[in-house]
Amino acid sequence: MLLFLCKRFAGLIALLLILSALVFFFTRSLPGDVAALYIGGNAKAEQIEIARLELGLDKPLLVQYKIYMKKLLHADMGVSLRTHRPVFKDLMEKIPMSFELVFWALFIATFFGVFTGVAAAYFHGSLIDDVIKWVTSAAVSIPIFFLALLLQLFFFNYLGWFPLQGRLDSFLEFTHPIENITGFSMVDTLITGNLPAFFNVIRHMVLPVAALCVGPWGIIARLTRSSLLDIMEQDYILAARASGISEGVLFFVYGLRNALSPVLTVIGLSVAIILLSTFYVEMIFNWPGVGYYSLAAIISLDYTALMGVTLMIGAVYVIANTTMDIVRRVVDPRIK
Amino acid sequence: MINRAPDKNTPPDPLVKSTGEAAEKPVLQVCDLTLTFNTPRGRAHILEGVGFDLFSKEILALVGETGSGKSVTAKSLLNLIPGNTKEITGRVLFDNKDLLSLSDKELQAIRGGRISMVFQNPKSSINPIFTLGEQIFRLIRLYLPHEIENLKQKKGYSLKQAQEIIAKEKLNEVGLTDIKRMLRLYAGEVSGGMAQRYRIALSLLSSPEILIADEATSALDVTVQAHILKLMKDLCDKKKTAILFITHDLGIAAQICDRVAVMYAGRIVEIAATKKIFKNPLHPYTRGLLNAVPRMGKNVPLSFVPGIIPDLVNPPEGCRFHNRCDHAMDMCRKHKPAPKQVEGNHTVSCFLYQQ
Amino acid sequence: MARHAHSYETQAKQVNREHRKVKWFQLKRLLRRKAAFVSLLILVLALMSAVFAPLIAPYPNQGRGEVNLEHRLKAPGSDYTLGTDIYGRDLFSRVVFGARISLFGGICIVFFAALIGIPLGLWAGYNEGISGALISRLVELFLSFPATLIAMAISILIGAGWSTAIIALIIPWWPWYTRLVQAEVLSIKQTLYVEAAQMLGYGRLYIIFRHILPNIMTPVMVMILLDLGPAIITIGLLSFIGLGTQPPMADWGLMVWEGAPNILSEWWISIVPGCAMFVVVIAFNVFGDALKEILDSNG
Repeated sequence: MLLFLCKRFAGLIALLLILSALVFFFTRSLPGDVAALYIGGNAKAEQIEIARLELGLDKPLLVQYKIYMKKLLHADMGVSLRTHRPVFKDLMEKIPMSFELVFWALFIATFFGVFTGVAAAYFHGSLIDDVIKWVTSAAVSIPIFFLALLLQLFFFNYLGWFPLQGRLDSFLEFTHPIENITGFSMVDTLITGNLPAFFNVIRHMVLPVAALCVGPWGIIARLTRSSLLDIMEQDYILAARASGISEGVLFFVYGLRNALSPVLTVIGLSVAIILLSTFYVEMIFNWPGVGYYSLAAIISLDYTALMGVTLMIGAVYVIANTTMDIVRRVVDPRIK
Repeated sequence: MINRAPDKNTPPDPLVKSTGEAAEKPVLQVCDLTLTFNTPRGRAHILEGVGFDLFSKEILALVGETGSGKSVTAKSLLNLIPGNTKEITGRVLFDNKDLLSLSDKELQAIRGGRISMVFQNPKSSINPIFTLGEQIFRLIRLYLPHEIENLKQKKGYSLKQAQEIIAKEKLNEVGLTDIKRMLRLYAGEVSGGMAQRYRIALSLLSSPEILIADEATSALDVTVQAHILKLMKDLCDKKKTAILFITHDLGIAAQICDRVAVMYAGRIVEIAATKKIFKNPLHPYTRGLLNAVPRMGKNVPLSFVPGIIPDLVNPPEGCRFHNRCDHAMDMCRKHKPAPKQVEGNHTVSCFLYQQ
Repeated sequence: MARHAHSYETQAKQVNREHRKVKWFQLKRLLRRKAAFVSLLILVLALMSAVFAPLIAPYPNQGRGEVNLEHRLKAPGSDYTLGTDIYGRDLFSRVVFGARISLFGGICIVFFAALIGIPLGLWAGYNEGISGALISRLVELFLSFPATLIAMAISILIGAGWSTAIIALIIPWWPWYTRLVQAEVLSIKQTLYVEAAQMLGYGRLYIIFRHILPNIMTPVMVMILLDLGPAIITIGLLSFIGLGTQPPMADWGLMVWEGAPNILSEWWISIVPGCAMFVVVIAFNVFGDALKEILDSNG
């Protein structure tokens, strides 16, 4: 087991290194003059030269890479070409904002996804199963940007249940502003006893989280269902049934345990899906998180910010997958 | 069907005639078992009128080629056939109850407890993500709670220790050693032979009255096969368990079985004591089977039964073997032969013997 | 990226089955199911609209992008059946022409990804030597990073545009085919008849094409079908943020983006192309699922 952990951890480090190298070469291959973009506006030739020296662009590639890696290890990702602030600082501010959405989306998708999949498998062949099959098919087929807009249209415009955008009603920004302690709105409002803001934030979170969790919910539900159905046909289930074990135990103990492994894999995948979906959801709902920041970076060709964002998302993905790998090994001893 | 004088407690069975021999009630009576499936191509008649008796302490072989329905017969005894497109009629009498009419809960009480089953693929019959120990402990808790209590009260063992002790004893009985290590292994880490011994131990935990062995040795090496066969025979002798031994291999049947029932295309065609069947096979199919066993020696031609088993969605009317039979008569094409007792305890379903 | 989950579904099942070629009677059975039939109908309709766009669209030039500023932002009505967009273009025509771009784009991506990925997978699966291991490592590397992110990065590198977006998407897409095919080949290699062919002395390529390929076609076809939906969506994702199709050419994703600022008032501009995308993708998924069920129960 320890050997397994070491191997996985080593793999993780290797992937992170490869990721950083790829991102480095990505930024160095970009079209346009980085130095000129850095200065922005009508830059004079000398200013561009100074910028070039500052950014170390005159040195050989390998040396640049070394500098880049050194800076990374000191959490220095350069300065955003758009906001002119250190990218790292920008990200640190935005991460808690996005984290709230991502966390709840992942939690809901996983919890309800597994629940739905189990229900569908348990009532296999009945109307419930059919309905679930249809709804999950729709859930995995809907483009995220379309879903977000649809939610706004229905739940804000027509039904008026939830607010359109942002994190807090503008009115409340004045009367009950959120003190920035941890950066997590829900946490901050709670610990400062700012209940009106707390509930308001939750109202604002409903639609974005809904948009984020629908796709992964569908994926997890379908996978849980198909895994369970497949497992219940296996030899060992038949043998266990012949040994006198009750159907309930067979389904919920044997069946579920065996079905966990592929589901864990897909949870890691869902993290990536949700992360990338935040680009669109945060833009449409005007939620100032990492996704919004990333999109702004793409549109304004803010290369340093892009680099930071790619590193971050890539790293999160790799870590999430490795974690899922490890958890799977605990659950399923067949994995080596 | 073997004929015995009816016991007073036996429900009147029109298929059992009396011959005045010593009354011994079979522990399992299968009467007229018929199974059909609805497939996309039509209704498949998998089993038709299958009937045989199993007596306690005997080993009955159910022999047939692939597709003859022997595995299906075994599984339907305990209603283990999946799918809701099936129809089963007939009776399976066990302890004065018809197993086919029991509810799931009642059946569950009998499965594993009074009637156990061992399957063809031992390794895939063990849940791969639980240790062997966890799985045997579960069954020990289920079937031997009194022994656990015993050990806990009298010897002061903990639950875990009691389970281990019982497991050790039962696994030793099937010839397994180094139990402590084995209990921590997973299905993928043991050999086929070990796995099958383990499965046999599991099935005999509850000292069942009947053990159904569905091709239990077919997936094992020949040498391992011999051991497992001997093991089963010894254990069942000791525990007085009847065995229904399903196989496609006549040779194996000859080694340990007292009686043999031959199946073809979903029907039983002949039942007799092992020696009798080998010495004097009556049904043309049985003869063909026996002839097909390769003989050592020079210039002995390899014989076989020409043709293939019939399509069960459109089975032939009449005897299902007639299109491959050397002795087929007109009657065979149109009518189904009923089982007839020819000599003492030798039953055959063939028009050759029904004049 | 939802497509990845489908491949996990396939791999979650044991690869212990005998794969057979698709038989015609299976296709007939498939069509007997209502869901499969309806979805196939929808797909054929979409394909027809794409191919015959200039004939179907009431305002083909507007469909291609010509502006019509006097009639901007008109609600669905008699003149313009589905309304007009911010440039006054008839939305129905736009969507029909968008079908060309979205559908064709999706087909291109999947086609080339399969074209590259399948042979590599065949090779890697059959030769377990160094070349096979190298391919495996490469596939693992690609799959360790989020595909859409890779595509976005490449798109930024080589410039935005429809064709560049497609190329950018093919690059992270092909490893999925390689992995699937490699796994299938490995499992089939174990079966005796391939060994038999080897013993009979048939050459490598012959064995691959005659024996292995037909048997892996089933899961590969299913993957291709189930991939088309996600491919269309992913192009839409790139177009929505400006990395894909550029105006005046528009795929459905770009059209949704164009209508997004006006979603609350002139909702049809975004909703119509969005629905088109949604419906087509559902059709692909439902049909693919039905096909998979039929093939699985016979395989």
